[in-house]
Amino acid sequence: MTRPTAMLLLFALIGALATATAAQTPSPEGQTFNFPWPPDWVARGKYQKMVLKGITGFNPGQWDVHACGTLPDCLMPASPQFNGLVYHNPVNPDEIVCDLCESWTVSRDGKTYTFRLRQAQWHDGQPVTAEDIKFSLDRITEPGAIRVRTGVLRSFYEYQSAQVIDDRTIRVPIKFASPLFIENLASEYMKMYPKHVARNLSPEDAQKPGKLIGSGPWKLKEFKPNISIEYVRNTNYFKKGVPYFDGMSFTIVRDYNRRLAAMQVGQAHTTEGPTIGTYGNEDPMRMQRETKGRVRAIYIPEAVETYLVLHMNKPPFQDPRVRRAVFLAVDRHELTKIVRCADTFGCFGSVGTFLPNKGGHVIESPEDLAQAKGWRRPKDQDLAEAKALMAAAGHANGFKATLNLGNIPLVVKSGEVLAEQLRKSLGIDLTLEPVDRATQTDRIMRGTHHASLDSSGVIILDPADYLNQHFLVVGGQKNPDGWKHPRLTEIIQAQAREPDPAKRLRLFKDAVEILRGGESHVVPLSWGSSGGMMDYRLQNFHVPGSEQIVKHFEHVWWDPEAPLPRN
Amino acid sequence: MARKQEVLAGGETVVGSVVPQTRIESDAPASPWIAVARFARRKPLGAVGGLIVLALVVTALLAPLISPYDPRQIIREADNRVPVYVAPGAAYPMGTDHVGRDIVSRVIHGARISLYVGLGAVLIGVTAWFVVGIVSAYAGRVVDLVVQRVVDAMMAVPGLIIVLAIMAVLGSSLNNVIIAIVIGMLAPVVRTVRSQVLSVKEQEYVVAARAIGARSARIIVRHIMPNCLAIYLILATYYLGFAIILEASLSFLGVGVPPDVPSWGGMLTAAAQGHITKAPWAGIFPGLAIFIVVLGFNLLGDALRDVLEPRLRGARRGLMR
Amino acid sequence: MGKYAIRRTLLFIPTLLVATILVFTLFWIVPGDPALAILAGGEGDTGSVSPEQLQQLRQTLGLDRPLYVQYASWLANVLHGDLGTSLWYKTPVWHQLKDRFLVTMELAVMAIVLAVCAAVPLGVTSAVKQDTGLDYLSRIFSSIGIALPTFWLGILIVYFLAYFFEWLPPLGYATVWDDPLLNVQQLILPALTLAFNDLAFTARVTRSSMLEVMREDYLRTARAKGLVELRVVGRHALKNALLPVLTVSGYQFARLLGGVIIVESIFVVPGMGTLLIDSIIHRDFIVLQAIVLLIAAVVLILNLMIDLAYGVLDPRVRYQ
Repeated sequence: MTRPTAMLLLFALIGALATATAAQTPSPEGQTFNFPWPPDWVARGKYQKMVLKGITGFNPGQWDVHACGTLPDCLMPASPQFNGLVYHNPVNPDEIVCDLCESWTVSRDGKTYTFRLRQAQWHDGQPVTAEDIKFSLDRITEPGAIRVRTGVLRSFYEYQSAQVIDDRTIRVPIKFASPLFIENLASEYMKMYPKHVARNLSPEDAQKPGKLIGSGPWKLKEFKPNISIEYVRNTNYFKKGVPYFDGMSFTIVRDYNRRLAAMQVGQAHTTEGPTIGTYGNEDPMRMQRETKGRVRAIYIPEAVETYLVLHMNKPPFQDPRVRRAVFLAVDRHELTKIVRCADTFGCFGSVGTFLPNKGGHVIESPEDLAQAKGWRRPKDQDLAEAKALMAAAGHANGFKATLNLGNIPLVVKSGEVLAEQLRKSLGIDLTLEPVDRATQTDRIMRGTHHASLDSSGVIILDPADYLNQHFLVVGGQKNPDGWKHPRLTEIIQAQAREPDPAKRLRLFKDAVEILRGGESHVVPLSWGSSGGMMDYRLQNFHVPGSEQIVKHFEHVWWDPEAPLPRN
Repeated sequence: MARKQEVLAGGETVVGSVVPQTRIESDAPASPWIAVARFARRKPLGAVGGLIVLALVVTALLAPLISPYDPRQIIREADNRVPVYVAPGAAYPMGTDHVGRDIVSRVIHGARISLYVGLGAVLIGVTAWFVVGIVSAYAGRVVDLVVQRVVDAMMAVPGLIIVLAIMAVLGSSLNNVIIAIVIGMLAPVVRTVRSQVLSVKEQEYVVAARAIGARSARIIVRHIMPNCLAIYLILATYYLGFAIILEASLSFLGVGVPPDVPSWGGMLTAAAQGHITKAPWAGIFPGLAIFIVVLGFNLLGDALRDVLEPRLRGARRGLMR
Repeated sequence: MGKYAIRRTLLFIPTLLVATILVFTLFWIVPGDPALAILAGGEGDTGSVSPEQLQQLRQTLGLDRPLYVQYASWLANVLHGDLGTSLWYKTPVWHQLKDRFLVTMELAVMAIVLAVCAAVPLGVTSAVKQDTGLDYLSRIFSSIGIALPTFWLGILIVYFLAYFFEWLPPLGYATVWDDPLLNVQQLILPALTLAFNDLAFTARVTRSSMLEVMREDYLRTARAKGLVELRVVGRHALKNALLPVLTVSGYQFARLLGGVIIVESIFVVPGMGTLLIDSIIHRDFIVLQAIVLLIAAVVLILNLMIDLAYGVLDPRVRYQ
């Protein structure tokens, strides 16, 4: 072979190899993701010497984000004080970017993540080190600790397996390669705590306001129970340039109508969250109209789903035929129309599905649902099958049953429509017993009622979210009678490890097929929006895909000269 | 003769002085209709109250016949459209509610619920606590002391807490609401009745009866009960209104009857949680119903008290002024 | 008189105890305990909690001890002056209560004063002019006051103001020492809402009490003697007629405190009422017991004072 030919062959070989590598499957191997600070939007913001006034209907009781059970009265008040390792980009919330880290590198096999930290300090001035990160990861996955929302990390990260390489570098091995690790780590509940403070706090002390300090944009100034929560700007925040206010002050107003009235007359600039399921109706839009645009309505579509849980510890829902009958007979379209829509304002929700269409995956599309049993219209066929099932199960004339539900107006409305539909179509006479949250949960755990009406928000932007919430955990509130299906369990495990999006989609579709048998404990009813209101002068707020993310208020600023929107 | 005055639900006082049975009998008119007519002429406001109560009873009895729709039925018009929050008009004289049910039907059936709750609470509550009050006053020191402490304690704790707890334990249903209201009535009714009986006890004729050796039971039945009957009647009318308002408050707090059951209080609550400005009719009509009915009971009770009490004091006096 | 006073005062303690035991018992019958409320009973969306986690928290908080032990331990603390630490907020209860107590008392007192000041003239006029148009009007007015649920009135007021006047009282609260104007602004509306109901009752009591007294023999004598009607009313009738009003106000105060609970949440007044509702939702029985103790103590002391005053003013009562 002549020299030039050899060289040519060599180049071709290298070129082929390079192309081959580039054309490989999308899972990043040995890839690094860099997020230098500041990004472009920071310079556009304007600092104002003012206190952002917010309004909230919730009273925080817990301040330890790791142990948080609930969103509005635990995570939302505490979150502004802390940072996570990674988080959802506030200006592009579908994207996950670095928060405390500066960059991260994924190993070729996808099982090791190496994080490089920014130069940051805690509110007491101490630097943020890799030791703190390791401590926090271990605290989250601590065996035996109460970790209602963060427990999911245990399925990825082995307790104490993180390695501190140097002051600002940490290596985190995970149990199996999964696209969901980073997604879960970006959850607002996975905050980083200072080791030198947190390790000295007992779990009870950690729940007290002001005991745990963070690195975040806001410091807790004062919490007056039932009155207000006040924050002051962290002037030493490691992200230079933000936040854009001197402080934040959230007044606690328990009465819903009073909160609306307060926004209307301008006593507050923003609602809590700023979105929460409570405002997932036409009220923000109505406020926008009434104030001629001074109040801006914000909605996160498909944020919360209302569903029926059938208790299988006793008749009649012990019988899968009866469960299937209910699943078929419920008219989801009518229920959604009545509960989620308002004349002249439009609809703030859509028909319920088994899995959320999030993260770019559409599993249950409208076309798909138009053919599916339980969803298809007109409902004659489904109703006929449902009646036949009831008769086969010995309930041709229906039966009486009790429905356990919360006393939130939206849930009660859904219950009323559901009860009327089931009474008309199957002769099932449901007695609605709305109660407060604690009683409702107690009843679910004791199985005192025949069915419960509940709602869940989407936590991570992935269809797996609802699989995990409803079907992975056996026992507990969302699956009180431990319903399982062997193939479904397989699918849940498999999808967490599957890197190929097409194959994952297939797995999800299989899962939905199984669930549409109608024999599980979950009967989806309707999706609802999470809503909120903000003064039109607050800039740079970008609607996230779920109400559980983007909760720092570090990126919004006030522009007094912002033009009033046209309509 | 002690005259510490006690207070009823309507704020009226009933004085402790009572006359013996015989004088009342001599005033009895020949026919009940004449008595009613006389009452109506002397006390026109009371007559209005009586008419309202009558209207309530008739509505409640005839509800299934006169109501255009089933109160729990979601109306489905042509092409499956559900009329949510439709303003009052030809099709729906009082409009529709937040899930598309006819408000006229719900208000009419609500009369049944209100009457059932009111009558149930009053018949059980006023009767039971009446007996307790009499026993407590008559049975002597120890029993009286204990009962009084319980009554005082119950009056000192905001009744709301007690009632909320009862409803939370029992669960929301019509009968449980009645139980809760009955317990809420304990303190005021027992207190009132007890002080009445105490004052009667000191009357000369009762002392005389005891002196000649009459047994306590006989004294209670022959002398005390008939006079207290008038008080019972007055208490009953006032507490009917009280029960209806309490049921509405329980619904507001979320522990009343199930939400799809057409109780006026429940409808008020749903309207309060919805939008008063957007659909004011959803709250106005049940609110008006509650108001009119309670007003009726109170006016009737007022008039009864005005008429019966002077008779209790002395035959001629009541006719003056 | 002395014996009567001592007897009544001594009965105060057991009554107070009965009230707290009553509430404690009711609390534990209600489904859902503080641990459940903390982990999964918060409002809004919740995660899933396991029975083991619940049991763990219960042990930490001491909720798995027998009920009488918990009550006794609470009582022991109270007798030492310690009202305990809130299970939900984890801050000392007294810390929260002391400010709120004053706010609620201020609101209640304002309401009663407003009510009585309006009710007494109304009732007296109504009695003096019995069965005339004025009487009918005032009776209908007071019937409205009784027949209108308090919460309904409160909601209507808030809507009226927001929609027609675009004004609402400011959200932050100020005590009457710091900023009297702001304080009055905040409290005047809830006080009026509460007063409306109380006014109706008190007016009726005044009316019937006046009617009673005006029929009395000694007044007939006064009239027979030729005294001017106004003098009759003013000097003789009014004094005696007002005694029952005093008693009634004592009972009304207790009922008013119940109404305060609802009104405080509608008008955003940071008093004990909002804390009470909160403690029920969060099953925070430490706070609940403390509030009940305080309210019961206030009501019982007030009624005690009224009873004693009545004993002084009307000698016939003492021998009951």
